[in-house]
Amino acid sequence: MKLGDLSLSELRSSLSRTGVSLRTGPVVTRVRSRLPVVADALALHYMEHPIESANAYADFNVRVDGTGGLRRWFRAQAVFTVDGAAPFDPLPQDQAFPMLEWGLNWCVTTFCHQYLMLHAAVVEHDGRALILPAPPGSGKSTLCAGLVHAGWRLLSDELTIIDPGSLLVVPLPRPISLKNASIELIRQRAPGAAFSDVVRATNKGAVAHLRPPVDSVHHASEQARPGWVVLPRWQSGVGTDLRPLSKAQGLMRLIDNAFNFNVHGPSGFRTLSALIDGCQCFELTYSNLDDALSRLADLPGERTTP
Amino acid sequence: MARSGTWRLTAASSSFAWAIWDGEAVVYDERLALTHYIGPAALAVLQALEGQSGATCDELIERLRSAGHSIEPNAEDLQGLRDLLDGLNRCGLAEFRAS
Repeated sequence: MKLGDLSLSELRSSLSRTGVSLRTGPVVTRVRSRLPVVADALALHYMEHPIESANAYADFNVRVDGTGGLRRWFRAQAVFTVDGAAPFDPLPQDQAFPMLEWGLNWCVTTFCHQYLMLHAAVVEHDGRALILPAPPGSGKSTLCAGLVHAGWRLLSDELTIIDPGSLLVVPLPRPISLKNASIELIRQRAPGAAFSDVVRATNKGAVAHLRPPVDSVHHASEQARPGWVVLPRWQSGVGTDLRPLSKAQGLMRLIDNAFNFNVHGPSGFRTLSALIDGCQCFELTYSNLDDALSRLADLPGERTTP
Repeated sequence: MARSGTWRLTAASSSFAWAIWDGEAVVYDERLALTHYIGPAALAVLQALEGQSGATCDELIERLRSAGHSIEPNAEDLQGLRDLLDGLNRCGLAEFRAS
């Protein structure tokens, strides 16, 4: 069964009572919320995602609900909890869905240490994954959205999950988080794509989520072998420059962008070294998305433009 | 003024995890949970220290020249070598023993 099989009223009812056990890649999260804005956003973004039965095991039990007291009436806030604990301060209620998304990321990076996790977007074509590690503000989600709408399969716009045993990327296709000018840029490029309403004045600026492509969700169980590591950096006004990076420098940058490298210690080092061994590494500086996409379509070893 | 003594690999360096490609390396020191990038010149120096008794800077220059590296026994290259060795010392890879 998928989430889209529920009517909106069924979804709201389930979310407010037993919760909905949402499968995203390797993770099952039981989500509860009484907030219509959360139900509406889940219906929009997760319609193709599988849901498990109410008594199935869930990796995380999360809740996004309004805060109590006077705050219910005056500048209403929402709070995210996981297993009853609130890792973040409450936020204005219009940020409830972005907060759920940030919370889901937090759950995965904080608890899923059976995997090595990178702060990186990742897309796939022809069985090879293109990993885009970068700190916030580097344009990786914009690039990821552009690539996805140019035919690449979305594995994740934020978390690259590596299975240390197989060295394969485990897909986690969820909504792509776009910020500020990127929202309009991608909206123009993908006029048929579904976006959530823009939430302004978050601590990341204006934020909107882009629904993951149906095909990417349907193929979420298909892992991909890393083929390229490209470190993107968006910089206003610069020409596009895709420059090879040595494997040693690539490994250093991958480690810099790993969430839990030190949890894995020497085995994590071996995992990332082996991953880099099978990849070609590049640095990409860009300001023009079309130019950047065209350079990435011509990556060595990429036989055809997707 | 230059100190008198010899450089060698630290005992701890053998427990580091290494990844080497095309004359560059990355080493991981599990004890301190630190990762270091080793550029081509530093890697050549480490290889010159490997499996041999300690060496003075002059002896190291000879070993590097024998290995085909274009380092010269002049003041500028000697200072460059000392700076490199100091960097390797800070990474816990090489140590100086005064004579």
